[in-house]
Amino acid sequence: MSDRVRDDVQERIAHFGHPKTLVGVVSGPAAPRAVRDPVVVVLNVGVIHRVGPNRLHVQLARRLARDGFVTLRFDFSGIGDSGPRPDRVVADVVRQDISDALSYLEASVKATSFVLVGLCSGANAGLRFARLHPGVVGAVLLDPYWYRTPGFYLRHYGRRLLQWQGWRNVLTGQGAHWRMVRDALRGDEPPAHLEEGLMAPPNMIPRAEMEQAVAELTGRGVHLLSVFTGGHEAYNHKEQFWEAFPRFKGTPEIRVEFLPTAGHTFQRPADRRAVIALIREWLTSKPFTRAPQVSPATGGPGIARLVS
Amino acid sequence: MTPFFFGTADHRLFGAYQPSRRQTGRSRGVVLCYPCGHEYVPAHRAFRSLAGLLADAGHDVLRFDYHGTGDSGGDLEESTSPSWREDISMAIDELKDTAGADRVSLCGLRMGAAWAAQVASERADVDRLVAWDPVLDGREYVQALTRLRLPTLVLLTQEAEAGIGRALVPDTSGEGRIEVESVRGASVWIEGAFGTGGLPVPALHRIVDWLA
Repeated sequence: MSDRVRDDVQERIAHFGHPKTLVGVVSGPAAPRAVRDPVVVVLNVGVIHRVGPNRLHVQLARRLARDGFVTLRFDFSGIGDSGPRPDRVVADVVRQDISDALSYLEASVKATSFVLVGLCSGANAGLRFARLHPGVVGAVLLDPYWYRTPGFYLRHYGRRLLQWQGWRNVLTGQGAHWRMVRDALRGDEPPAHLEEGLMAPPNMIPRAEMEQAVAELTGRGVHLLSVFTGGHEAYNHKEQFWEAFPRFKGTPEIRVEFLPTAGHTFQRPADRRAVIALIREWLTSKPFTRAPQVSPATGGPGIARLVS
Repeated sequence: MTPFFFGTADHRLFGAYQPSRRQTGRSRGVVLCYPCGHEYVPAHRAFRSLAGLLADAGHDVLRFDYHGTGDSGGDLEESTSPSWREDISMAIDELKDTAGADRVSLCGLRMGAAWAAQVASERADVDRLVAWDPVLDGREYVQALTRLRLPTLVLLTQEAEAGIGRALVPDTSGEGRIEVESVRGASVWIEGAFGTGGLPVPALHRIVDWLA
């Protein structure tokens, strides 16, 4: 049974995996004939369950449903309402979970092409999985791991030079940099967060891997929408994507947007509306190539045929 | 655990039903009431764990998202405090119907505790209440507590709030209706502590023990 959450949107609980330990919600248009391709899959952000930070994933899924897209938001194993995988020996649980989600959609709505949407760690997971599955035709990377460039440092410290607070810290011996100096003089170990660059953060994608992934995916015709916010700690200008990888400049499959006023978790409703509008516009304007196979026996990939 | 939608066509709520995993001979239902706003997401994991522990102890448990929050229908802007109290009532009816229970207990965290207290004071089928780190922000909440005629546990996990709680909760120790307790452990609704992997085990077990 599906449930109407608005006049034009229906949602259904999805239980899938082997055994069915994964839990998600499928959103789609109330009218089956209105279903469009590709199917969108929204991935967890860290340990936040499938509704997303500030309910971003729910709002995105329902807005896309009104545009005719089917969307699955679900919880990785052990997160949110999903149980742990019984086959704990699987090395990459997230990869297997996404694979199960796509298999579920292939079986339930006859989906053949997918767009993965992820924020932060979800973006990294989506990018990595996209390389493995030929059905992925697009990925929306919201604040993915990124690389500080010389331009980043120039902008970052240039702005600080113009701020009175920075000079006041220098003159009064306050601030993180003076603390590092004092710690070093005392022989104390620096806090872990100040060793950035020496230690890989948990979400890090090595630069060579990122470059290889982008080259591989765009070479395959996969479209990438990268959206960076002002809350990204390592990104401070729209051009920084191209600064990091100039070889991709002009690649038609890549679109980069920078929302400097938005926070990392899109706390403000206006920022959520802005990023959702971007994704909608991108989804409807790109020529995603793999169309779903419509079963003549059932008439189309309607939400009403989803199994729970 | 069975996730499902319930409510009316115009007012769909998302629920997660956890049936008892122990035969007790009679159904003992517990409705878990989430906090609101930014406290909802960090609390989700602890609520899931609490539902599992309560099920192990013989309770049928329903946790649910208020209208306009989580996976439930509607937008936050359409929802109000009275409508969320109505949602708790709807969840109580749903659990009674699903589990075949005559009476239920309520366990609410933060504002969920305040709303649960108000709902409990308006219904005859709520037999016990756990107010976990309740929002103690005013006369209305305290009045709701004093109107209660059922055993109530006010559970506080922060020392600072414990002091406030003891000052505001009316002294009814003579009648033995309201117990105020502090337990050690993390405050699950605080965003800053989220993601550290810790669960407030003493608080979870105290709730299970108290409802036993």
